[in-house]
Amino acid sequence: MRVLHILKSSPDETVEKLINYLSETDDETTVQPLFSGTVDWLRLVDDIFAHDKVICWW
Amino acid sequence: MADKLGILVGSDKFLGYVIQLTKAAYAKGKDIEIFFTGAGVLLTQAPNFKQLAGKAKLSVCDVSFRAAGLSGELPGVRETDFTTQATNAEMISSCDRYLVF
Amino acid sequence: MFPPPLISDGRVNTMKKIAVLIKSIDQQYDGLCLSLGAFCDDVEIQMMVLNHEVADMDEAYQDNMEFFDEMKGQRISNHMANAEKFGFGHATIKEIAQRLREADLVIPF
Repeated sequence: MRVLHILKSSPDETVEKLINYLSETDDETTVQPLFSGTVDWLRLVDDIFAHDKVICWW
Repeated sequence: MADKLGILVGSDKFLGYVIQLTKAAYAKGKDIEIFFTGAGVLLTQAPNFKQLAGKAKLSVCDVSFRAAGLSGELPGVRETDFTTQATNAEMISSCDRYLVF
Repeated sequence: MFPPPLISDGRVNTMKKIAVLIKSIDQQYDGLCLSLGAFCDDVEIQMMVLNHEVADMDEAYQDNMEFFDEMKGQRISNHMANAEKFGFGHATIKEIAQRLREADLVIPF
């Protein structure tokens, strides 16, 4: 399963742990932070629909 | 039929992200539904909230809106778009992807 | 957005699993209402309270929690006090991750 993790703010220890545990068995994990760097929103839309599952963390 | 993107807005912190994502998804030809609930209804009062009008189907939790002491018309939101949590359940079942802001 | 039904023991399971995560005390009541509102005929809801003890358990929260239980929702928490005082099922973060893996939709609220 391809999973996209979107981070709206800097992840705390709980979110980091959950993503790490989930990543252990996922075929492909992509992490997209929104709070730092430049976000390519058009590409993000493509990524959202290209992944099997999307989790938009806090 | 276009891909459908559902966005639940339950926080008052991320309107900028919601607008950016909505504009990009709209440009990509996606159908977009946004439901504002809880603290998210406070974003309806922001000056840039109107940037969402016409790009997405907007709904607002009526209970949350009234509980926040809000009233009046909103750009892009019809009277019948003030709804209940059932709108969120419908959005969950009908959208291809579902995000939370 | 959900995968096709799973076939197990000859039975078709069409139930969709939704996990609602609540990490902030400020969101605990709205998160419960959201969890309740997400119920449909073919949906299983797991409400997971992370890292904090449910606070200000007023009548409205209590009533909604009882309604949530009547709807066969699952209440899970990694905070032991929620298990001991309020009847939540206890799970570690690793066990919660396993549940999220099995969920069709994860809603961090």
